[in-house]
Amino acid sequence: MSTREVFTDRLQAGVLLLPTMVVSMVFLYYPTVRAVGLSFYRASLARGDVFVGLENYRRLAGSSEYLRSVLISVLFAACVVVGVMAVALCISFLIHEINVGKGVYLVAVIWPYALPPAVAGLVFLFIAHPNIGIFTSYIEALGVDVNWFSNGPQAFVVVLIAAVWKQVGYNVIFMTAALGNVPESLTETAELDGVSRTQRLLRVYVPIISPTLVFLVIMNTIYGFFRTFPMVDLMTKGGPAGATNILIYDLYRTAFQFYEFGFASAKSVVLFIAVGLLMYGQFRLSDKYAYYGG
Amino acid sequence: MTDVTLQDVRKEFDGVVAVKNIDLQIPDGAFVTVVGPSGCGKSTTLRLIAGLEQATEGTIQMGDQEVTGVEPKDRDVAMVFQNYALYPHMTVRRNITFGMKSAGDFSDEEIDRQVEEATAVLDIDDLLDRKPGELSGGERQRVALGRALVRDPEVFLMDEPLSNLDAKLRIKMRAELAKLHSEFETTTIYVTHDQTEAMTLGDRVVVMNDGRIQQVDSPQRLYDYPETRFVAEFIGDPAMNMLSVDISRDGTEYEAVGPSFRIPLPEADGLETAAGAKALLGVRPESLSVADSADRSSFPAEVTVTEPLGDSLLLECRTGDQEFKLHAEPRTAVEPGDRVPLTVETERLHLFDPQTGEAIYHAAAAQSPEVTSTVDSTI
Amino acid sequence: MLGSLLTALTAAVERSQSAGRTTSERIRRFETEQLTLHVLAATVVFLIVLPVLIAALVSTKRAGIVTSIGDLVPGGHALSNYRRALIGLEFWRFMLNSFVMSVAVVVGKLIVSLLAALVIVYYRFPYKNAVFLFILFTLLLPVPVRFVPLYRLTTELGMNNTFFAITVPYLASATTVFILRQHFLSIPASLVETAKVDGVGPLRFLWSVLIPMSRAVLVGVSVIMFVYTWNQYLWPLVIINAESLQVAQVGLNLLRGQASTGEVAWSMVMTGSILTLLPPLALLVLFRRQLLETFTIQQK
Repeated sequence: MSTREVFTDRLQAGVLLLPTMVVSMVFLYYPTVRAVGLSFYRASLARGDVFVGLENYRRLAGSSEYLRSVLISVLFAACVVVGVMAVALCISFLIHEINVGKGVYLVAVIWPYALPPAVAGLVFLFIAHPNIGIFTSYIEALGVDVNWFSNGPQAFVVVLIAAVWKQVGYNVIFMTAALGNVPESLTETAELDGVSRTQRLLRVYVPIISPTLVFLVIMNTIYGFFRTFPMVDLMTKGGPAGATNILIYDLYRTAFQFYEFGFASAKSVVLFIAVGLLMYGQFRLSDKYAYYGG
Repeated sequence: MTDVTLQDVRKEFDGVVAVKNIDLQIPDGAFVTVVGPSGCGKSTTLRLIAGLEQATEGTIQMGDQEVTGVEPKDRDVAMVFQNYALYPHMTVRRNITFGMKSAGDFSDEEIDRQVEEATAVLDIDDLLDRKPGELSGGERQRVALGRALVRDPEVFLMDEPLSNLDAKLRIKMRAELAKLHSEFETTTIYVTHDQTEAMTLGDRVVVMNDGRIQQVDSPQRLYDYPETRFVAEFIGDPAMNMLSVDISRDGTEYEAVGPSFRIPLPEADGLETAAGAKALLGVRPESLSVADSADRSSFPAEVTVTEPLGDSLLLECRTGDQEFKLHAEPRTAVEPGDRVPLTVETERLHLFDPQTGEAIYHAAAAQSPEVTSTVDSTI
Repeated sequence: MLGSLLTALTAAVERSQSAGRTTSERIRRFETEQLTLHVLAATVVFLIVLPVLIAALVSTKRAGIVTSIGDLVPGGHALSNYRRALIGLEFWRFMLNSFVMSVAVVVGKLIVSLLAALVIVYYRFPYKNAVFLFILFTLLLPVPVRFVPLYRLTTELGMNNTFFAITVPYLASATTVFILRQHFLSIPASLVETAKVDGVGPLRFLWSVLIPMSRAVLVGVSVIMFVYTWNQYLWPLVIINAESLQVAQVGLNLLRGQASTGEVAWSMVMTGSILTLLPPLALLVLFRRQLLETFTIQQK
């Protein structure tokens, strides 16, 4: 029967909350509401706004270019999630199994968390460059023609590798923490039962750390959808021929190359709904897996 | 120092009633312990007095001043918590003075003097520059007490202050708390779930259950004259046995009749109303003993479990479908399954109403009829 | 049936064999195992560091072209390259802008979020849960979802191309409020109750008790927020036109254009990349302990 809520002055509470509430209201809620409003207009800076009803959404639904962008985004995000988590799980398990020097390996592996995505993009653009990239000649010696400036699938893969590289560290942070929380007794029981290392990872650890994995799936999806914007912008500009034209890049171009703010707002609303569904999904999933969380 | 009066105090949390309209008067300088099972409302009562919770109904008075809506800091109380509530990043000295400085009604010299005095009394004057993390549990407890002492409050409020200490230290600190109180004579309200603490420390013990005050009395009277079945069973370990009986009357002779026994009841108040009805016979384990041989005053029972405690032998017995416990002489030669004759100390018997749980009769009342109490309480 | 019997038998034999091994044998096996793990881990670290290592090497060369592994030797132009990038091409300005923006956002967010978390944990007032939800719900509104209307709003306010535009919209932080709230909830309630009984006010409690008791978490969230702000790209890209106000992330691209064309450009771009990476990397290495601690709170 104890409570932390000992202060009761409502005026004080209001004043202390004011900065957060005002900034949230003005720069977070209001623009979102406005995005919904704008999505019913044909809006551009030069010619003013004209109400067009659902026209923008109709255009979206009918645009094969946009649908392709949706597909590419989903595919890209899915590849990011799977790639990042598979690599991160292996690395985390490796670090978990090492007896001495864990801390050093951990820092040496998680640092790309601090890596600016723009830097990741530029560095990868450089080392994977079709003409002057350091590995290009070796890969071409293997019979692969490195030409991702014009080859869509190749561009997709190169951006994907850069994206995975940047995001693995973040995942390792959470995974090693989760693995560290697995009770020692479970590991010992598994060892006594003669369970092999890989089996121990897949059958014992993965189910136990599943709440963390669910959390990471969501974070990685959002990363794949949004945070990879600088890489796309610096490496491929959405090309070649739209092969890396993920939704956020498409949205950016609609607004700031074609200045179609109404149409861009409709795209924002779609993104907002996507984020909402994702978060809802996480909420439901982590509820379901709460049993393992303890 | 001041007296504290609670009048018709009620506290609800989101529709759940934690304290159900209690009245309690705590005299100036008393050491009152409040005891009860967890969730009985004892801590809430303390927090209401501290001002950490606001009463839903009723009034709280300190001295001749009503403090019901008053902020805690203006009530001049000091509180000691179960987990000591020391600020881990501050030294002992700063922990002790932090609150005083906030109150702002002490000068620096006064603070220094008070700290010196209090820490000397508590024997922690050499710990002043350490942080709580470097102290043992007992030392932290003393610092928490010191922090309360220096404020020189009208009332000390203590919420299970010894519960985090190990058994040995708890007994030692108990004695020290009693000594401190006799020295400072500050009104103290002490909440605990431990009946031994409640009994040994309190001049008056308040027993609470389910948001209500069951009884307020001196420790011995609480034990000898429990007013309800709850108090009878809560105070004393092992608990008082409860046997369902019929009360039979033969002229001026009354008997409690069970499946395999008839126990004569000494004449005292309440017997007449109980006669001819069912009742619960309350017998403490130490009021029963194993007889040398079966005779007219004994009744047979089957031993089900034996627990040698060293200074006595605890027996669990059964007669008919009723089970009870008793303290036998140590080294008594009985085994589970034995049938033994038992006798009962008839002047230590109690009767309770099976429906309401209220006491109807205390056999000992015949010997000591006067009932006095300096603490008034209405149930 | 027969197969499973066989497996069980083999397993039993293996177990008895391993039980029969001498202790020194087992230790040796354990040691070779650990050695393998270390080799694997070192390889992983090498692969993860490699791209930045190459970038660092290139930043020391005059010509930024490395087309084979043989080219991967440090050049002697580190000093002149970094001087040229920072001073000649004025990259210091972008770095400074990024730095000022990040520090302002971190400090602002900390203050604003500390006050909000204080109220959410230690105040009693009606509709508190609704207020908390209102703050948490902003997690659904990341920059990419709202940067189009936000651009219009900022432009209408006449705040485009200002420092205001790249700081103030970032000040409300659901993540920070949430992490602080979780941390405050782990501090025993009796501390604030003691403070209340002693007449310690909320701001004094915040300053003298909560902040000193939250040092590690405050450092941790500061690093998280610094990295987040420092790495912002999209919003500064659209809202800042003036080069003098641009941040390092976007400045990198400008550097690419400015550093003339040809082979020198690449060593300049890599120099700029390393410069841009250094501040957040330094914070991560310095405060890794607090950072990891804070991340474990965030996930709850």
